[in-house]
Amino acid sequence: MERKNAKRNRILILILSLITLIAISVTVWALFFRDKNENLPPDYAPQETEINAEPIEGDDDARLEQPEGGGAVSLTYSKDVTVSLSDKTAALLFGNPARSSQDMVVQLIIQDTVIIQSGTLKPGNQVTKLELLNGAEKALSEGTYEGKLNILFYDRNTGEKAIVNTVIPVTVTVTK
Amino acid sequence: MKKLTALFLAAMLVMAMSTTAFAAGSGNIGTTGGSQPIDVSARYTGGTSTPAVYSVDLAWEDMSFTYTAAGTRTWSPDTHSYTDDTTASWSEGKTITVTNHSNTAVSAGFTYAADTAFTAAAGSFTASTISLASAENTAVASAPNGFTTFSLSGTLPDTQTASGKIGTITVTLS
Repeated sequence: MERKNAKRNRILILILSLITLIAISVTVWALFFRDKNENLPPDYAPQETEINAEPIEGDDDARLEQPEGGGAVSLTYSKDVTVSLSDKTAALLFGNPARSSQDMVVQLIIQDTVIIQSGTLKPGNQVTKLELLNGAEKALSEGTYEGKLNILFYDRNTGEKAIVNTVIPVTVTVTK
Repeated sequence: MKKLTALFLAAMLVMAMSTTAFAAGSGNIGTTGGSQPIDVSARYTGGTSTPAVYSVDLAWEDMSFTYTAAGTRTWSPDTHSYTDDTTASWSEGKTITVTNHSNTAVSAGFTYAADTAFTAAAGSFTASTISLASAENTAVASAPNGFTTFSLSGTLPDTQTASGKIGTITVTLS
């Protein structure tokens, strides 16, 4: 009888060990190996303001006249982006001048893969640096890519995404 | 010794003699005045860069449209089908305006992508591309600008009785 119990216990321990091993494997995969590049543009503006946003110096222009129910935005940008694989950051220039009536979110897309997605960029602010999405550096290697900035506009009161968005083709230089 | 002294004195005399110096050019400066033109030369070495600064304004009207269907669909018991006597139309188009404040020319391209459930409603623009000249030498208020009008055609499902998003307009700035 005791031998039978001992055998049952061994089987139970084996099964529990197996379950533990599977759980640990799934956790390790989820933390380190899962593809995190499936970034869909949010339908509502992210709650968090972009941490790299800085006020545009001397930008105190009056708001653009916005057609009722529509939108009016102003964009300042350069068409060159430099990605540093070691820093996991991108150097670029994109501004949402004070004249704009909408918040903005910037995505950098290379070959249909979202490399960067900013937080909310409010009117009167710009970014010169953005962080790559987790693991995005693995998809890139040193060289030059043709990419695009996907600019999404959000209503400042409701946070709702506008029906109009903007795409800006850019040249992306990737360095070590 | 006499010879040496003579040679020395001769040398002193030669060194003490005045020499008339002629300046370059054809001027004539005398002891009492005159003029002497001096050529000034210069050359330009390119070293100033003028990077392109892109600054574009976009404004769009309320992109809400109404699809109106009117008329009668009459049931025919003989053919077990409807005789369609209806007409349908979309509300008028809406405008998107692009203004260029860049120091380089900018082109704006317009595309419409319908959401999956609304592909029967097609979107079109009066101009699918607008080319705008550089804003150099223009006043801010009269910056180069252009517009396109977006309209819908086709049909909308009769289940869409409340206003909602049916597609997205993308403006490509290049």
